[in-house]
Amino acid sequence: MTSHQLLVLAEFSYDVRQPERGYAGQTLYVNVGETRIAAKSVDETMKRTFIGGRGFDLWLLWQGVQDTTRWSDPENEIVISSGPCGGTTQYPGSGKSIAATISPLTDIVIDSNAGGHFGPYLKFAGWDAIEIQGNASGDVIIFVNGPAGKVQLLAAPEDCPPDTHQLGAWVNERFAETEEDRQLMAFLSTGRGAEHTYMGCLNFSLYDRKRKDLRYKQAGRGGIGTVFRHKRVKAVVVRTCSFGGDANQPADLERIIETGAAMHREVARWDAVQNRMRHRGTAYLVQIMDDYDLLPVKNFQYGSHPDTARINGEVWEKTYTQNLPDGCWYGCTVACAHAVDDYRVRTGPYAGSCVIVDGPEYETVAGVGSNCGIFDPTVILEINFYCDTYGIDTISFGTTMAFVMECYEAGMLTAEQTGGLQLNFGNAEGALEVLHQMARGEGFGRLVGKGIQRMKDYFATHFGADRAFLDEIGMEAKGLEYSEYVTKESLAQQGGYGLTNKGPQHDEAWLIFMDQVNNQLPTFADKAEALHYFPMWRTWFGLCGFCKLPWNDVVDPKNAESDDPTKIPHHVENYVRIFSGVTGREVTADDLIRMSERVYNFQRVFNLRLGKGLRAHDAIPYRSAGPVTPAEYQSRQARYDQQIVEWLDLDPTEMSLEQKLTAHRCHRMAQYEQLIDAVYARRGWTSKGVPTPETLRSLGIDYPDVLAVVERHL
Amino acid sequence: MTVQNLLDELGYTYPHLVVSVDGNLVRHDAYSETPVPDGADVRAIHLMAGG
Repeated sequence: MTSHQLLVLAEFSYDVRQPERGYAGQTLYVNVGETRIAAKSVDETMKRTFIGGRGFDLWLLWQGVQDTTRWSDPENEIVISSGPCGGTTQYPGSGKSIAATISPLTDIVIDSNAGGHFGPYLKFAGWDAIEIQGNASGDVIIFVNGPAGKVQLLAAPEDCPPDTHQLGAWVNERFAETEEDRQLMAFLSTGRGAEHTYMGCLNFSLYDRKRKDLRYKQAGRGGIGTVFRHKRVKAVVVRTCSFGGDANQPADLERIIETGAAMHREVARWDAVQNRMRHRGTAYLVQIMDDYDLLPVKNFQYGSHPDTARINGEVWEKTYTQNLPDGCWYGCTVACAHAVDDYRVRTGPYAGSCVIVDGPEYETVAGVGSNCGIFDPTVILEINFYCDTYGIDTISFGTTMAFVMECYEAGMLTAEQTGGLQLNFGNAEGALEVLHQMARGEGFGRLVGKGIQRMKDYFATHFGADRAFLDEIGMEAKGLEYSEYVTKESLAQQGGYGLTNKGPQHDEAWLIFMDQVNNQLPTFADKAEALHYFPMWRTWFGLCGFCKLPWNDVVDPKNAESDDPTKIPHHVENYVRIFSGVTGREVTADDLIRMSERVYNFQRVFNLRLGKGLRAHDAIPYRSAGPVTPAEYQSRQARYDQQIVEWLDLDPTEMSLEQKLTAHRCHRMAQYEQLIDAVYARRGWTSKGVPTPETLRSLGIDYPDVLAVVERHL
Repeated sequence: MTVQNLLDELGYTYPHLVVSVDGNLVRHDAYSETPVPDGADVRAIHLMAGG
């Protein structure tokens, strides 16, 4: 057993329960401010209504906070849960954890998922979720010691390193005594960047047995890491008991094994000729997005660039270390989690060190690469390493930096205001300097770390920048920065970003091909149906502990013969079988959607409770819908002129460029408003965006305090 | 013209397609040898991945 020799501030003993049918049956509550630890039981109603994962997070958070709670208040919580299927080793992508909190960027609930071993290990140590509340007065570490049946709140010593890659080594030294210990431990951490920005990410560790070293996956979005450090938590360490493939004690292991084996065969047969995830990870998308004019280039102005070949999947396939297992979670044959070994850092406090860089994944390559006009893979690696170890979300960093660069080039920002940095697109050294400043909380980087929404206010108020222009080019909605897809030609995906609960993150819906390329969603009703079904479907992954990628990133071509190939029906059936096999509940595909509807609507009401969640909050920046600048228009003039003829029955040759830009703007924004009406109606919401009492009743979440929130807005 | 020629012409580089010619599905490994008759109804549905 460990001899960490740290000061114990509080201790709690518990009976370790092996999960039954996917549930440990209790959640762990730790108040780091009051140094109090407790257990809460999970009853059948909670399982039936909220399922697990994001559902459990929201339910626990709802009870912990007030209507007036803001991100920095002690009553704000970070809740993390995997879900009943989390920890399954027979089916790919079954080890996800979902974290939720009130976000410093959006002031509403943010949920963000991550791989790594933490969520399943927490469950195997006896807990379906961990709920962290309170703000500590000094740095603390939470240690969940499953084999000992003990939870400790510990004082973090002063020699505790500030950034994740060093902190990980320190945790291993302090808490693990043997190689097996290291394999049975996982922890959460972030870095100094999370202390000084609003876009702090949370790193979820995994111990890589082949490398004999730690790697990390990120719950990146919305500043969960910022809340973590504001609470003065340095790390949450979990040590689990030895476990096998039946650790969830599923109801029907044979059914799970059989379903998993078929899926593994499918992955093995088809990945190599489809997306090559096993070699390129999600970075395979870089070239595809460029080919279809969807890759964000220079703050989403353009969708492709001649230099994309320098940072595409082929390049990353050669750069990643190959032929090592994935490690994200055991048994995942999709194996998209790649890493670059022995990368020598060249800037900042770790210059000269040799490190492992996890990824970079598609979003990082597009965000800190093409979107910032940077097409140098070594720079992308450098930024990726620092974002992760500093604890800064690569997506928010990339989109924010791209916004700054466009402001700089448009004359909204001068070198005097940036502290001497000339932040043109493509200035890699400038971007890195801003990143280091963000981590230190110094200089211009301190302002950048607050995110686009606050920068717009600051630039307009203090620098005299044109507010209307900033609003049009600042790619944020609800305060969260956009993830990395150009949506100008897909109205459905504009809704896929704008009509989300948490802000513009693609994990609710990615409809661009269906809408823009296949033209499968020609009417508002079609788009609204897709913006109901797919967000509900994808929400379900986050309730159960699944990764989305095995659903549709590798598919047996026999799927083409199905009734609805876009939904991948035979994979949907796999999930029905796995869920039933784990929990013992015999369900249908429709039941899975119903589970999500409950949680999704609950989250919408949660936003209302916190003062947002109305139609006005579903607005999007105009660049998400159409071309803002003359240069943008001229770059795709043939397309835009043709649309003026087809959509508006006008003659573009008779119009000035300004008139054409205005015509597009009026038409596209009116279309978005019509889309909102159609989607709200499909979701059972009022035209203000409020779930109706009838909708809540039909879902069985018409609790008095829930109804009281919506009734204020009817 | 074959299915593959047509996909190349359209710039459809995405490997996850459901292609049909006059309602008949064409398997991925048959793109290069499947002809596209004049006036044929060709559909190339891009399956979602990404995101």
